[in-house]
Amino acid sequence: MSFLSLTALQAFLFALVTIGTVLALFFLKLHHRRVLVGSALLWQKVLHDRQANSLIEKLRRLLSLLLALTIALLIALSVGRPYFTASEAALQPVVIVMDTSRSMDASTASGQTRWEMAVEEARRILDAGHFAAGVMAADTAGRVQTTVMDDPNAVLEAIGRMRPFSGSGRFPELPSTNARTYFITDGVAPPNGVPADASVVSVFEAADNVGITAFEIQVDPTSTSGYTAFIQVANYSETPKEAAVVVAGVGGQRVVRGANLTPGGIWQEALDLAGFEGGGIQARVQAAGDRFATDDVAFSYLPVRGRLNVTLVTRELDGYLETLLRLTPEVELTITSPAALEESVSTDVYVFDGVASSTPPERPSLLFGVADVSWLPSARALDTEIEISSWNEEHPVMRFVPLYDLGIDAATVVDPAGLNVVAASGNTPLIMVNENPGGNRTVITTFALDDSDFAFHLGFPIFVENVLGWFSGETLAETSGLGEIEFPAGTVDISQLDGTPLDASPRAGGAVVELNEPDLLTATANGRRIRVAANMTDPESSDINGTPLADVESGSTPLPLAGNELWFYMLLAATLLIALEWWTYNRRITS
Amino acid sequence: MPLAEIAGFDEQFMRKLEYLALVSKRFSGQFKAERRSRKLGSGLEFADYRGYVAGDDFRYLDWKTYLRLGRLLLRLYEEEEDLPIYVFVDCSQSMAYGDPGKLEYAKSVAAALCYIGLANLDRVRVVAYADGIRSELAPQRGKSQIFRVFQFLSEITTGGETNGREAFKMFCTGSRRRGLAVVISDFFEPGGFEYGLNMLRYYRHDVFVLQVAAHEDVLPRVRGQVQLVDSETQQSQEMTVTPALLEAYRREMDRFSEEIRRHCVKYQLGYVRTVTDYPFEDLVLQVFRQGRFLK
Repeated sequence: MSFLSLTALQAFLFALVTIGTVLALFFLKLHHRRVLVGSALLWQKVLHDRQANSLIEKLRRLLSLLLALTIALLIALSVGRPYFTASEAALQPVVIVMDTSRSMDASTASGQTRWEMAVEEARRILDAGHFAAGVMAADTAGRVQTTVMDDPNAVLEAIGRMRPFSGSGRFPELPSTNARTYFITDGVAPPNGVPADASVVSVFEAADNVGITAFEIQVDPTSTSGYTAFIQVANYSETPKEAAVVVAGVGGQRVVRGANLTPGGIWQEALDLAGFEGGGIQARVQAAGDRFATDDVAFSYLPVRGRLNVTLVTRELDGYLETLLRLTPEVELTITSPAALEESVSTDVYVFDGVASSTPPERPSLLFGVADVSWLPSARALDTEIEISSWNEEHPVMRFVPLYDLGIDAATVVDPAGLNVVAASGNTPLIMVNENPGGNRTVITTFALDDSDFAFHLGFPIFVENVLGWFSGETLAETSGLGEIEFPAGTVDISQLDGTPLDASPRAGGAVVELNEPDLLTATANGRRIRVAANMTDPESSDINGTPLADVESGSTPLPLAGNELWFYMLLAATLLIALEWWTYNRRITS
Repeated sequence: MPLAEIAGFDEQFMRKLEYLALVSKRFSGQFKAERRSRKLGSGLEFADYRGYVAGDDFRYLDWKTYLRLGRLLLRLYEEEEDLPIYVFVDCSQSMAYGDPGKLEYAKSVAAALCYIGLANLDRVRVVAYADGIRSELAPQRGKSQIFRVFQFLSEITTGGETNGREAFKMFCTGSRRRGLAVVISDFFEPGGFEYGLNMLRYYRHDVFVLQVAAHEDVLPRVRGQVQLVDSETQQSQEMTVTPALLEAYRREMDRFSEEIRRHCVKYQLGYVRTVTDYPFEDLVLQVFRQGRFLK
C-alpha cells in the first residue's frame, strides 16, 4: 500500500497528529449545556429506569469516540489517495502515446487545437490513475520517449516538450508487452504498428480546411516569362468555401484569384509569372472558417534572370540549337568553330555541338556528343539499340524534361566514372553531369543532336533552359515536404526566407534541418547555392477530416481509474459513519 | 386604570370572565339536581313530609293535610346554604417553568373559577401553597369581591419545593367547613401527590384536581449533551438527550398524568389535565362539564 510517498515514521506521525486532534475535539465536544427545567423529577425517573442500561451508556460514549476517530482517520487517510498495488492491472506499466502528426495542429470550435486537447487527455489519464509499475510517454515522431517513470509530473513535462511534427510518424517501441497503452490521436494519419489492444483516445473534431495542395514553378517555353506557376487548392470542408488565392513575389508582384470550392472540390490554375522578378514566390489561400493554417501558405523560387554570354562551338550551324539560344531572352550568343575557339573571360557558358575543346574549358559546358578528347570519357562502343530506361527527374537539369518518346539512333558507350548519369538506356549513359566540387559544371549527352530527335522534342528547350540555369546557379528550387529536410554533405549556412539561420544536424554524410512551417530555405553547398521550397502540399495531410474516428466520441475511452483506489471507499465509509453517528448519538443537534 | 388591570388582569380577561359567568348559569341549571343540599331547614323550596313529633315548630305543620287525613304532618324545606370553595394554587418554584409560566396560567384559571363562584354567591377562599401555606385570602362572597381575589392572585410569587401533604394538612387542621377544594398544580412533588389529595379527601372535601403542565414539560426541546438543573432543588444531572431518551421522557410524562387521573377516578375526585398553551376559558368550561363546580 502506498500513501503520499511518506516514510513509515512520517505516516505514523501523521496518524498520531490526526488522532490527537480528534481526541481533543471529542472532549471539547463533551461540554454540557446548562438547561433549567421546572422539575427534574421525571427526568430522574427516566434515567433511573435506564440505569439497567448504564453499561451500554458508557459503551455508547466509547463507541462515539471510536466512531469519531474512525471517521477522522478515514477522511485524513483518503486525502493521500491510498491504493492497493496488488492487482494485476496496477502492476502493468502505462504507456501514453501522443499522435504528433501535423493534423493535430487543426483547431477546434472551442479554439483549442487537437494537440492541446490531446495534452489535456493525457493529463486526465495521469491525474486519474496510479502507476505502481510506472508510466511513460512517447510521440509518434520518434523524437520524445521517456523511460518508465514513477512520477506522472515528469511524464507530463515530457509531453509538454512534444509538438506536432510534419514528418512521417511511427508507433514507438513499447517497454513490455503487457503495458496498458493509450494512444491519443485524431486518427487522420495513424502510424503503423498500433497494437491491437491499445486504447485509442480520440481528440478528433471536424474542422474546415482549405489548403494549397500543389505549388510549383515550371519552365514554360511558351510563356513570355519562361515560367508558369501551377497552383492547386482543395476544399476539405463539409461546406462550400470561397477562397482568395494570392501569389506574390519578392518584388511586390501580385496575382489574386478567387476560387469557389465545393466540399471536396479542387481549384487549380497555371499562372503566367510575367512581370515577376526572380526570387522567392509565396502563394497564400484565405478562406473563412479555416482551422488549419499550415497548408495555407506555400513557397517556391523563380530563378533570377541575368545576362548570360553563351559561346556555341559547332562545325556547322544547327538551326534548332542556334535558334533556341538566340530566342532565349537572357542569352547573349556567340558562335564559333572549334578551330577558332579561344578561351574568353567574357564567356559564361560553352555549348559544344558534336565537338569539344582539347582541354577542359574554364567555364561550365554543355556538350552534345562525346568527342575524342582526353578530358572526356573515352568511347568504348557505339550503342544503336537505344531504349531509354531511366532518367532522374529530380536533377535540376532534367526537371520537367520528359524523355518518353525521345528517339536516339546511336549513343556512345562510355565509362561515366566520376560523372552523374541522369538519363540512361540500360547500361549506356545518355546524359551525364559533372557536379563534382572544385570543377566546372558540365553536362554531356552521349548522343549527338543529329543522331536523335531531341532538338525537335518538347523537352529540349526546357532541358537547355535547365542546363543554363544550373550553370548560372539560378535554378528552380528543389521541393520538399515539411519535417526533416536533408542537405548534401558540405552544406553550410542554411537560412529561411527571412534570413533566419537554421541549425542543421549532421546525418549520414549530410545535414538535416527540421522545418514545421512552409518556407523557402537557402543553403550553400560546396560553394554553390541550393534553394529548397519546403511546403505541405500533400493532399492527404490537408485532409484533416479523413479519419475513422469521426464517429467516436472525444475522450470516450475509459480511464485507468482503478478499482484499486481506496479514497473513494474511505470517504463513502466516513460519510456512512457520520450518518450513523448522527443518527445514533444525535450529538450535533444543539437547538 | 381599572383595578383588574393593575392586578395583572386586563379588560379582555374580564370579558372572558363575564362570558364564563353567563355560561355557568346554564351549566348550573343542568347540574342542579345533582348538587341538591342534603340539609333540610328553612328554605323556600318544598322537600318532603314527615310525622310530627313533640317539639317541632308548629309553623311547618300542614293543616290542610290534617283536615283531609287527620294526621299531623310536618312540611320539610331544603335549607339554602352557600358553598365554600377553596382554590389551592401551587406556587412552588416549578410553577414558574414554561412560556407562559404555569403559575400565570394557574392564576388565570383560579381567577375565573373564583369569579364564577363569587357570582353564584358562594364563599370563595384562595390558598397559595408550596412547601406549606404561603398565603391565604380570607373567604370572600359576592361578585364585588373579585378585585380582592385579583389582588391576592397577583401578589403570589413562586418559590420553594412542592409539599402538598404538609400544606393541606396545615389547611385542614384549622376549623374549616367542608366544601369544594380545587387544587391547581403541576403535582411535581418529590414525596408524591397522593398524600396531599388524600388529606383533603379525609376531611370530606369535594376535591377537584387541575393538573397544569407547561408545553416544555410535555415536549421538551432539549437535545444533546446537557446538564439539567431542577428549578426547585437546584440539583443538576448531566445527560445526553437522545431522541430515545426524549421518547422515554414523554412516556413517563404520560404515565405520570395517567397515574393522577387514575387516583382521581379511584376516589371520585374531579380531574382535568391541561397544558399552558390551551385557552384557559376552554379549560374552565371543561371544569364545568365535570359537574362538580356548579350547584
